Amino acid sequence: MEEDLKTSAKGQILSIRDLPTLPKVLDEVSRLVQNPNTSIEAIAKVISRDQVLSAKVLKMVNSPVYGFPGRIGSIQHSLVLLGFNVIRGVIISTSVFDIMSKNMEGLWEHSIGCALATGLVARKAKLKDPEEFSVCGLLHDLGKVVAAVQLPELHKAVGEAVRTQDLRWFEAEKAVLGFGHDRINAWLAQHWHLPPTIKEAMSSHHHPERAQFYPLHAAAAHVGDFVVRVFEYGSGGDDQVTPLSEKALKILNLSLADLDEVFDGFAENLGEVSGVSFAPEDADPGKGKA
Amino acid sequence: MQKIPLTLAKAGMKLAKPITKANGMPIIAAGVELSDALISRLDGMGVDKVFVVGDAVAASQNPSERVTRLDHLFRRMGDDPFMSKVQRHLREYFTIKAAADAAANGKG
Repeated sequence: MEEDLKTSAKGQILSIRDLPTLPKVLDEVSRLVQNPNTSIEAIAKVISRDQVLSAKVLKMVNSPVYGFPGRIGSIQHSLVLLGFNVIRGVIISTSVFDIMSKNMEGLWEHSIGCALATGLVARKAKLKDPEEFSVCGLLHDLGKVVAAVQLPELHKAVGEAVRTQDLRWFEAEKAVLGFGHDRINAWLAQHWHLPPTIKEAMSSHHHPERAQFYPLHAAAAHVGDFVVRVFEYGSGGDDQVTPLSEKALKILNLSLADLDEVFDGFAENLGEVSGVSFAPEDADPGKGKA
Repeated sequence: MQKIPLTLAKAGMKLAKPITKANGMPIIAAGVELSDALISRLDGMGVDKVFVVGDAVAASQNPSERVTRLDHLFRRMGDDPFMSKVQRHLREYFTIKAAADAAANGKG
């Protein structure tokens, strides 16, 4: 019986039919990118055609998460500065969180907080392209959003286990579903053809020491997740810190004391980052459904 | 005011906004203090988020608030030596920040 539940849960999550659809422009852009002769201008043109999406992307890339506050005025400029992988990650996150913005705001805040923290960790560790690490933080819990959409009943049961047994969300997922959002993440990353760096961060942020190819990305997202939990900004579904992996700090060549700067930067920028929201502007006033 | 998922609602928190039915009819008024019984009733009604008094960002940024939350956040880490060290380090970090804030406020 229990095995049956696990098998069917897996099937349901993995059913493409009901997966959140990504904006059409993303497909088109992905095709363009495969041709090395495509110009940035051409890619920017396609994205800019979707005005709502463009506005969201610009709002995000101009937030302190990426460290260019208020300076990026066009999609083309954002592509030059941040690269296609980052912009693609931003587009995917806006699309997936759009569906959930009504009742999972806490997870959105947790994710954007993690993006900020992961970027700060990457900068402190002097890693190349810190913006790509920010995207790893932004997308690290995407599997939780998708699980909530695809398996609302089981999602509720996971929440119940968190509440009654004092589990962390990840532990409760494994108890109820038999697998965690890290597995869902790996599959989603595969399905959406995310770059392997982001895929590994998404699938290994709970066990960065097991990352096979991109331990730096997994370790940075792992530490970012820990930092946002220490500050309790938003919610990953429970109110506990995750066990911080000592090995993750070693991978990043950081000491505990090095994290102080990350904490400083996080507290400093949180106010501004918290203004980045994908909830509809008319945001519903405190209505629970009854 | 902050919006939190019902899973994080605790007895003693105060509603900052009324809880309403989908048609807008209020069921529970703003200012009501949550109790365990009320929370499970809300859960039964399918309410999954509530607005409670308090400010998430301010609470996150306030170092003395962080110091008081550490034991709670680390409650399941047991006596893991590395996590104990991490917790001590955080306590020290936030305590110093809180003292610096207090000194700055005293002067200003």
